[in-house]
Amino acid sequence: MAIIGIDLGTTNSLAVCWKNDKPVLIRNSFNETSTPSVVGYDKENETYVVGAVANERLITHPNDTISEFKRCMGQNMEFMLNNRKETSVSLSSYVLKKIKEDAEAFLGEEVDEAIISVPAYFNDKARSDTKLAAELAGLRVDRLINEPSAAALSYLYSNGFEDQTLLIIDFGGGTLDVSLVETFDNIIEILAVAGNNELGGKDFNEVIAEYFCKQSGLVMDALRLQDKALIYKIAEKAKIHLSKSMSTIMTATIEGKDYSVSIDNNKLIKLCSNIFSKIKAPIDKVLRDARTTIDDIDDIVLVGGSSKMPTVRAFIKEVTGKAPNTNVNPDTAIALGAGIFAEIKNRNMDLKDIIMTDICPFSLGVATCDSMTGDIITEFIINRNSSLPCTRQKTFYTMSPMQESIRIQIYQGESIVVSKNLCLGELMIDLAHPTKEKQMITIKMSYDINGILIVDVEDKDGHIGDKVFMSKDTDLSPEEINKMRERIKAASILGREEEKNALLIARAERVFEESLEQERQIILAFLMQFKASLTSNSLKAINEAYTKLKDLLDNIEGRN
Amino acid sequence: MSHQTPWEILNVTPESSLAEIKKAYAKLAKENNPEEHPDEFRKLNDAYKSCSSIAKLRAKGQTVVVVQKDGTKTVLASIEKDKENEPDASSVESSEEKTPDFDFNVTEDIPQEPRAPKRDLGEDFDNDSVEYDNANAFDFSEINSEEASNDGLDPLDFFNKTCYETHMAHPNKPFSDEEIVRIAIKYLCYINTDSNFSHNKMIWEQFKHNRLVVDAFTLPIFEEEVNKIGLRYNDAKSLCMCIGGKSKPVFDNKTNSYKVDLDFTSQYYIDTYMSRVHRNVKPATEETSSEKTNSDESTSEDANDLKKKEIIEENEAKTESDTKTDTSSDPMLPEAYFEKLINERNLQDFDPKTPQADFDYAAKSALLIDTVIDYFAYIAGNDTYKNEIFYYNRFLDNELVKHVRKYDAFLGKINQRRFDQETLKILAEALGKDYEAGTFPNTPNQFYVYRKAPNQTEPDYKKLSDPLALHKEYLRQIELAKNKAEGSLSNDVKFQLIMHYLFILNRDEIYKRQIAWDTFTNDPLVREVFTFKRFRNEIVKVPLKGDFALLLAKFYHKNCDIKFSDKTKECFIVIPDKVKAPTLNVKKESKLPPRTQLLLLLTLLTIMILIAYLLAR
Repeated sequence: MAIIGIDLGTTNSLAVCWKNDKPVLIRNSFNETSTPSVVGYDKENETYVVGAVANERLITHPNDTISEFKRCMGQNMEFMLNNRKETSVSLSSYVLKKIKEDAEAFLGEEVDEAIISVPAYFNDKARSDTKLAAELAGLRVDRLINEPSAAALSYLYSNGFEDQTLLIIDFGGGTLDVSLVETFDNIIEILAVAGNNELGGKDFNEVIAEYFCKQSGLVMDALRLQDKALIYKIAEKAKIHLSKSMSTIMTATIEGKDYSVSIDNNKLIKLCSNIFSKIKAPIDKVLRDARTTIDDIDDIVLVGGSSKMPTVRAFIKEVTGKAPNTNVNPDTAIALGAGIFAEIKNRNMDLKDIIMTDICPFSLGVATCDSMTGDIITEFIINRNSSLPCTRQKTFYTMSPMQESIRIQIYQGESIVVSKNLCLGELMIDLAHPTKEKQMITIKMSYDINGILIVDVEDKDGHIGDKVFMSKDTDLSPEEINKMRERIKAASILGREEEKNALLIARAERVFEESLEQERQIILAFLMQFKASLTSNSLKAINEAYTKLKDLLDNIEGRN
Repeated sequence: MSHQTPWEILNVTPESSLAEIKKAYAKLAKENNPEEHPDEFRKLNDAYKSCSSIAKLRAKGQTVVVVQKDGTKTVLASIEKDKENEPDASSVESSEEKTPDFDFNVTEDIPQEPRAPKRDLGEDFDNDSVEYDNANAFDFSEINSEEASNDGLDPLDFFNKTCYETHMAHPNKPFSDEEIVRIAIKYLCYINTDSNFSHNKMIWEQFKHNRLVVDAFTLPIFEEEVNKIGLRYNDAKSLCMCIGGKSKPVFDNKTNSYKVDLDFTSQYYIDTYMSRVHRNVKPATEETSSEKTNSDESTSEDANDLKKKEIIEENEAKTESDTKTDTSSDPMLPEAYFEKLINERNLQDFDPKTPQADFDYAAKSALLIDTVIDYFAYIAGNDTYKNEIFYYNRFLDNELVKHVRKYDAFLGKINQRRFDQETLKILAEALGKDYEAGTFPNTPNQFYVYRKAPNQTEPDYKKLSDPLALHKEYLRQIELAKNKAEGSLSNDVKFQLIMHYLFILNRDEIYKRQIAWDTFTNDPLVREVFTFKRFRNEIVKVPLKGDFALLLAKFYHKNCDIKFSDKTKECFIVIPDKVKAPTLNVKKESKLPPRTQLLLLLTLLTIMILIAYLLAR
C-alpha cells in the first residue's frame, strides 16, 4: 500500500511518489509526467477518455470533452457528458482514477492514499469536494495541502532549510495564489495567503484568442465550437511560443479561409494589462496581512505554468523590485511538494523533523444582530491567516430578555454582509433558564489541521451545546454519493494499452481539422490504414501503420 | 500553563533576539508536533507569534513597552539590526544572477525607473498613444497608471490633487487659461484610465458639472490648447461626447495621436456649459433653454440647480437610445418612432406570440422588451408627450406592448431606467387600478411602479413593527377570510394571505426579530402554503432583503440558495430543480412538542395495559 502526492491542476495533473529516498514524478502510459485534466466521452467505443487523449479531442469533439472543471470546484455547476449530468467532483474523480491507475502501474503496488494539493484560496466546500472526488476514485485523503505550502516545501527541500522569508507566487492555469512563508530550523511557517481563484493562464489565452478574432474580422460568438476550440488552441500555442521568443505568428484555417495574425510580448502586455493589474492585488494583500514589506522578503519563488511567461516574471520583478528565483521548476514544484508532504505524513525518518504549519485562508464567524442598528452582520471569531490548529472565543449577548433559544449560524468568508459569506451550518440551542436580563453566551471555535471545526457554546453556568463541522459535510446525501461511486467505478476508462492508439487517432483527427485539402487526403489515407490495421490483430501491421501515421503527423506539425 | 507569558512558554526572556526566539520555538515545536500534540503546539505557536512580532519591531528600531502580569512595565529598547535575520544584500544579488531556465534576456533589460506605484498621469499621457517599438523591454506604464487609479484615488480626489499641485507650483497666482484646460483634460483622461469610472454616469455628470471644467470648456483657446496636447482615442471620443453636436475625433498622423474637432454650436453645449459659465459670459438667461416648460421665478442660483436637474434628465433621455435624434427640435410621433425602432432592429417580422425554443426567439424577445421600453422612454423624455396620458394609453394599447406587458421583466426594466416620479405616476394610472407608483422604505428617493399587493380586501397591516401584533392581525385576516368563504379556505386565498404576510415581514424588516421568524415558520398555514407548487414558482420572483431571503431559502430547503441582483439591490431565492417541496406530513409531526408526544404515548400505553389487564381477567 503506497501513498502518493497529487497536484490536481486546472490544466494538468501530476503525481509524485517516494522512491529511493527521494520524491519521484510518476510517469503515465505515454511516459510523460503530466496528465491533462481533461475528461471526454468516446461515443464510438463507449468509453470515457481522460488525459492526453481527451485533450486532443477538445478540438474535434468539443461537445463530448470537458476541461477546466477545477475552476468550478465547490460550485454546484453541472456539465453534460454522455447525456449525463457531471459535476466537477465526478470529473475530477475520473482524472484521479486515471492517475491512481498510472501510479499503480508505475509502482507495481496498490495505491490507496494520497495527499492532494489545492489552491490556498479554496473554501471549505471546494476542499470537501476535492476530498470527495478522491474518495470516489478510491483514494483515501486525510489531508489536503495548500499549493503554495507544497511549493515552499519542494523549494526548501532542494535549496536547504535556511532561515529565510519567501514570497511564493503560484500562477497556474486557472488560479493565482500568493503566500508568505517563513522558514528556519526545519520549520515551515505559512504567514499569510491571498489569491484570486479566477485568474490564470487561461485568461491570457482568452485575450489572445479575442485579439486574433478582432484582427481577422471574426466574431467569436458566431463561430462553430470546433473553430472556437481551434482558436483557443493556437492562442495557447502563441502564448507558449512567446515565452521563448519576442514575437510569433498565429495562423488558422477557418471555414476554408486562412487567417494569420502576429503578436509580440509588448502587444501581449498591452492587451493583458487588466490581467497584470490583477496580479498585484494579492501580493499587496499578503504583505499587508503579514504586516511586512517587500524588503523583508529574501526570495521570490514563482511556480505554476503561467509563471513561465517572461512577461509575468518581468511584471513580478517590476512590482516587487526583486528578480524571482528560477531554481524551481514551475511545472513540477507543487506535485513534488505534495509528494514530500505525503512522506512527512507517512513519518519517514529522514523528514521527521520537518514541521509545517498551515493557516486558515478564510475568516470564520457567526451571524449576529447589531444592537445599535438591528442589522444582521458577520462577527468574526477566527481571523484569516491564523495558524492551525487554532482556538478562539468571543462573547455575545442574547437579543431580548426571556429569550428561549439561540440560533448560531457559522459563516466562512470576509464580508460583513452575512449573505456574501459561505454558510457552514447552524446550531439551535435552547436556553434552559430564560432570564429577565440578556444572557451572556461564549462561542468558542476550534479549527484543526484536518479542517475540522468544532463550535462550542457556553453560558455563564457552563457548556450548553456544541457541534462538529467536518470538512466532509457535503450537500450530497449518502445515497447520491454511493450512486456516483458506483457510476465512476463502473465507467470504463480507456485502458493503458489502447490509450496509445486512441491518442494517435485523436491527434490525427485534430490535425486533419487544422490542415488543408491536400494534407487532409494524405492524413485520411494513413488514418484509415491505421484503423484497418487495428482490426487485423497483426502486431507487426499495427506497429508499421502506427509509425507511419505518427511520422506523418510529426512532419505536418513540425516536431521531428 | 494558561498563566504563562509568551516568553515563559518559549523559555526565553523578553530581551531575547529574534534568532534566539526562533531557535527556542523550533526546538519546542519538534517536541510538540502539531499532528500529535495539537493543543501544546497551538500554545507554542501563539507564543511564538507574539514574541517574534515584538522582536521584529525592536529589530526595526522601535521601542516596545511590555506590561508584565504583575503590572510592572518593562521597556524593551530597540536593538541593533541583527544581521542574521535581515535579508542579506549579497544573497539577493546572487539570486538575480542565477542563470535562468528560460530565455531571460528580455527580462534583464527592464528599465528600473518606473518603480513608483503612483505616477502622475499628466506626464505620460501624451506619449501613451505611441506604439511600443520593438525594443527588448516591456513597458508596464499603462498597467501602473491603472493601478494608480485602483489604489483608491477617486476621480474627484485626483482632480483636487492636480489642482493643488498646479496651485503649489505658483502659490500666489491664479490659474492661467492653459492650466485650466490642462487640468480639465487630465481629469478627463484620468476617468478614462479605469472602466469602473468611465462606465459610471455619475462620474461623468460630476465631471461635466465641475466649475473648472465648465470654465475650461468655455475658454476661447480651449480647442487650440487641447489639440496641442494630443489625445488617445478614448479621451478624444469622451471629450467629443461631452461637447455634443457634430464634434468628432480626428487622427493626426504627425503626432500619432488624436485631435478633436469640436462643435461649439451644438444646443447641448450651449445649454450645459455656456449657460452656466460665470466668468466670461453673462449668467444664464431663461430663454436659452428650449426645454423650459415648468418655468419658475427663482434666483439665479436656484435656476442653476434646476437646470442641472433638467440636464441630467435630458442626458438620460439621450442615452436611452443612441439612435434617437434631437428630441426637442423635431418631435416625431411616438408611434412613428416606435415603428422606426422596430424596423431598425429588424423586428417587423418577429412574432412574439408563437414562442419557439431557440436562441433567436429569446434574443429577439429581449430586444423587443428593450424596444418597447425605448418607446416608453421616448414619450417620457419628450416635453410634448410626457404629460399627456393619451400617449401612455396609446402606448399600452399597442399590440406588441400588450404582449410585452405580460413579461415579468417589463416593470423591472421600466424601473431600471429610473424615470421620474411624475412619469411613473402617469404610467401607473394608465396601467390600471392594480398598479401604483411609489417608493420603498429603503430607497426613499427612488420611485418605482409596481403591482399592488394582490389582496382585494386590503388588510390593515399598516406599519406593524411589533411581530406579535402583526401575527394577530394575520390571524384576524384568516378569520375574516374564513367567514367570507364560509368554512374552509381555498388554496388561492391561503396563498395570498401568506404572500402578504411574507411581504410585510420583508418590507418592514420584522423578520429580524427572532420571535417573528419563529411564529412565521411555525404557523401551520405557512407550512401548508410552503408545500404548494404555486408558492415554489412565485417565491423565486419576489425580491427580498438579503438576510431574509437566506433565512427563507434555507428554511425551504437546505440546498436552496439566493442570488443578488446588482441593479435592484434585492435578493431572490433560487430553488434548484432537484429540490423537492417540503412535505406536510413531516411538519405535522413536529407540530407537537416532544413533551406532549411523550404524554400521549404514556396514556396510550396505560390504556393498553388496562385493556390487557381487563381481558386477562
